[in-house]
Amino acid sequence: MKIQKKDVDIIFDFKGLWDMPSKCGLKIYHKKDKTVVIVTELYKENSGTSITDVTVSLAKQICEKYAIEPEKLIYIERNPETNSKLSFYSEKNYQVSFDIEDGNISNPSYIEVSADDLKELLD
Amino acid sequence: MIFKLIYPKWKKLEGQTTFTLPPHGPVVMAASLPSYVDVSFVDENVEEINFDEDCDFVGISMMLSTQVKRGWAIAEEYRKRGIKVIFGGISTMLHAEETLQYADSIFLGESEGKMEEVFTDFKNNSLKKVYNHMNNRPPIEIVGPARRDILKRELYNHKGVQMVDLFHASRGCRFNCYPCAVAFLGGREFRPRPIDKVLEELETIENNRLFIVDNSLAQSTEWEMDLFRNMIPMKKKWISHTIEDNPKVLDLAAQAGAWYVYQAVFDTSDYIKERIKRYHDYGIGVEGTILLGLDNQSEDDIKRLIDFLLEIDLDLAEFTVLTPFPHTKVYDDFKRQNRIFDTNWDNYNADTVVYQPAQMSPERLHELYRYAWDMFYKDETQEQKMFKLFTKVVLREMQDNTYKPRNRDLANHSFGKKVVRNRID
Repeated sequence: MKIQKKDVDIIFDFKGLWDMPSKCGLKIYHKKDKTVVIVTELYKENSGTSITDVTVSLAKQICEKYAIEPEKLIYIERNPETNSKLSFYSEKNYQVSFDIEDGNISNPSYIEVSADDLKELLD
Repeated sequence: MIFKLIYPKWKKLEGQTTFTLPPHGPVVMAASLPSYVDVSFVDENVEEINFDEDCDFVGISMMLSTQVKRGWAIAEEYRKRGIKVIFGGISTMLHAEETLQYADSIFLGESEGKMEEVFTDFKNNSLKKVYNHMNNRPPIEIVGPARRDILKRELYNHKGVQMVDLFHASRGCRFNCYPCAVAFLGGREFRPRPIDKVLEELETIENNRLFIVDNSLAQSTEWEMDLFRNMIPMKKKWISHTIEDNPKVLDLAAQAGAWYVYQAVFDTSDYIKERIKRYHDYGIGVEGTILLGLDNQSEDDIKRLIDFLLEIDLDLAEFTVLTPFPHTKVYDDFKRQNRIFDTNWDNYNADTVVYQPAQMSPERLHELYRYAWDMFYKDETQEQKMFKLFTKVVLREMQDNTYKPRNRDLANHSFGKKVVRNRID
């Protein structure tokens, strides 16, 4: 019998640029034939590197730690709503596509996804 | 051992009156060198580099993105001559991976307590490619007085008037502003220097006029007030970034010699208008720093902002265009949106548009940037406005007997160059 992996909802500690200790929000949803990973920028609560500054490295760290096959990875970077007066700090979600060769992740490209698109990905 | 420390030149902002201030990073770094190291400092903004002058080891200190390409070129010259080159400073941290290609070594982080290892490795011919101390900041208590003795003072003088000395009372910044890389560079923890250490360093600075370069003094009310209270007897006059908007703090700042502050003006609200007025009420001048090209700004917004600046009685204004420096949130956002079209770091000077603005073309944003400078200074030039601010500080110095007349021997020199005067006989 195949054991269903547990979903994850934690603050994830990762190695940022130049090994700087860094944090992000991490949600992992195991679906039938895909794994949706949502990493969330923490701004002031993260004293290290931003999630976008190390997109590839962070995705690799998460895949390794949670044994996720890169080929099944749906990877989302999220800027959370901060209720700031500045529009740049409103919620935004980006789906990140990678080149994957022999399980190796590289060359990220970003597409903004709406809340509805995200919901669809999670269904 | 002779360590030649070089500060590369860069192209100054178009439209802005050029004043070359003595740099801060190199003098702070020099203070952390082992005692057996003799420093020979060259600031390429005010003097030429003699590549054939004797030295054992070269350090290139870079603060701005617009210095990195020149820094790399300087390194190539020395490495051709068989001299090893190490890079350090803020923009080495911002451009570390690229800089590695031009360096024997790069130093990342703050230098206090870390230089003995570097120089021992150099002497043993075992210099490491990267000294990574980004995550290993020194205790703030060990930051001592900077080595201002390495500066050639006469080069930072305009017609006999000595430029301000740069000084820092804290590191790190608890704010993480949208276009700013300070959180990446100095950490998000505010690290104020102990007041006695600050005073000890201030005592070493002969210059009565300072620029306190801290990112923001408004990060700890108690420390800020303590700092100002202790500075009052020194009678220094100083420029700084934002001071906390609190009557008690502003009053102490004024007594401590606040000359003028840099204040970001980001909208046309009454809050900004009143903030500027409060500084003025305490006799503190204001240079507005205005960033153009944010995604929420339309052409009309920018024009309205410029009209507003003329209404609120700013003493000076400095305009820049938004620039996505690496390791900032704006860089992350624009990278995701594929909006950065120019990665020539020479153009990251904050007056060149290197990205696609949200509400106009890059060309139109640049036109509005030029328009902003022209409109703000249309009735009174930047030099005239600066002269007014300068007069204010001179009068205050005369009142408290700290005024020093200009150095007549340098009256015909400006930043090391002879001034040609057109005389009508």
